[in-house]
Amino acid sequence: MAEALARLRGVTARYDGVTALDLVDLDLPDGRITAFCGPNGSGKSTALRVMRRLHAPSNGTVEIAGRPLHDWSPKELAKSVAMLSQSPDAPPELTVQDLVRLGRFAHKRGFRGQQSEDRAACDRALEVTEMAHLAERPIGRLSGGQLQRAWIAMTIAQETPHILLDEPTNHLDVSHAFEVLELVKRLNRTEGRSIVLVLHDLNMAMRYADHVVLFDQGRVAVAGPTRSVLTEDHITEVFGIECRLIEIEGQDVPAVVPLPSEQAILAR
Amino acid sequence: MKKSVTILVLVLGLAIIASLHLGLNVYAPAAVLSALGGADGTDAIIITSLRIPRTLVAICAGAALGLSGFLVQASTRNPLAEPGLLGINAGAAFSVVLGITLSGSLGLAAIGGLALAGGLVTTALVFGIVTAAGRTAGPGTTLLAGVTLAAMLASLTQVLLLVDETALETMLFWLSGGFADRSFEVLALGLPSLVIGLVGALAIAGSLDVLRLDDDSAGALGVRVTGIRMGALALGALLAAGAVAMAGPVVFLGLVAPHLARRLAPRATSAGQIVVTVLTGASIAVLADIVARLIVLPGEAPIGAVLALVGVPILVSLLRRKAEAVL
Repeated sequence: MAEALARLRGVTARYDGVTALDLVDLDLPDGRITAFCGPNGSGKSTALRVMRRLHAPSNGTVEIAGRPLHDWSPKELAKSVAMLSQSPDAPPELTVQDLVRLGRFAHKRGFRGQQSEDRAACDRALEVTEMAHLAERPIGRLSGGQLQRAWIAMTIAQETPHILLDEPTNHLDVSHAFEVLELVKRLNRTEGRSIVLVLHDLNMAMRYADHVVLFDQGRVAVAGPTRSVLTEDHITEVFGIECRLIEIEGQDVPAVVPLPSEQAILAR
Repeated sequence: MKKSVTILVLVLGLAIIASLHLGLNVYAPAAVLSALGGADGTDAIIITSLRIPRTLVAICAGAALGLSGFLVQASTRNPLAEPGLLGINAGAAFSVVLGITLSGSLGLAAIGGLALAGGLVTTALVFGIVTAAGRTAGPGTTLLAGVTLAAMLASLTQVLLLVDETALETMLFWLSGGFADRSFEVLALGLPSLVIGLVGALAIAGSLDVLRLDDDSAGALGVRVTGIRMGALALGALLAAGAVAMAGPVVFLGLVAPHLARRLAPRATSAGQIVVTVLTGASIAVLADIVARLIVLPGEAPIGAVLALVGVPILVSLLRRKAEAVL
């Protein structure tokens, strides 16, 4: 059994006194695609930010790849865990290529300029995300799907064994969303990178995740293999909404169909 | 980027040559050359003891202010931020007025020393306040502390000026800023901060590139976000203190020079921007100083007035073109 990608014990995190994570224990498997699901404000993004050391927990311990989080230097951690945040922001005049190059920051030493391995990593990231032909374009002139792929390219150029993606399909139409998730799957299956991503769409999680963590009000409601977590009962319990899993002929995974009843909506 | 550096070096070189020739007395190249060669005579003395120091002070103060503006803007990701927001000028002014009130009239070198001390103490105070603020410490808090402290120091300065009228006259001269009548001692006061500021800025240039992104993205790429942002502000404050020691509170240069640099080398990395900003700052300062000498002959215009006259149209046109580029 491979070591855990991340291990959280008794982690509590707050924003200005508001509790976002409440005594969370969590083990994330290495080498898999893990989806964080749950209602808005249930703690998914906070868990990701805590794991990437972008937010300091007020309590508890976090280990990444078997090593306490506080043990890592910023650059070491950046060479092990990449993260694409929820609303990344960069000046619109920055070109795709320049953005992707920033992914190499942790690999640079001293005053040396761009090395051949940096260039190779950037080229590969642009190629994998099919952005090579747009390398010279300022990011302010990209479409939503292209922009998202540019940011993912930057994350890939970091060349880390672990990648965290906070709502990577946000603002994307359904076909672009599938494109991004197919890319995620390739990164996992052919390059063996572990991926943790926040997903709102349960059908996407059902289709692409090996492992799902269902968050509810700052706690982990259920965690485990996808099919054992995304059940009608669990979804109803966490989202407070009736739902059916419907098998569709020719598809490997069932469709998650929410059935909102007036009563349930009023109860919330 | 290489092209803009070449052009700027050329512009700066020509400005320096012009600065040695032009003024109340206009000299022929032969006179300047013989003065540089160590000749004697009134003209040579004017050139070596007045024109050369004021040109060097303009270069160094301009470079320091431009770089300071670049660092403050990079740290706060705010294109309107400028060194004055850190309260350095207000602190320097207060220190100078206090010194004059206590000891009577002072020479420009002594005033420069007081200004440097005041600027450095203000820097320490601003960062002290921010450190005391604890968890919320960041560039935003720093500028808030700077602006607040500046307001307080400015009113204290006003009170002192009301009490002591001799101070008022010297102060009004010094407060408009300028490069005239500066000695080499004044230059020596500001030079260390320029060197430290420049080396420090180049050392963090790679991190500043990444800081063009939002904090979370920059942090995930391995940058110590708060440390670098605060470090950039501290270097900016040090540079501003050096500049105010040399030239008094020169306004506007710290705002315009980085904007012009971005305009000239839009795709340059931060290291490139630093080089270009140093050149634009120095060039604008030397050129403005020449204009200040010539427009109200036989007198001299305050450098602040010249910079505002020249700088405002430049800034407006830059902002206008930038707005068009985004649309």
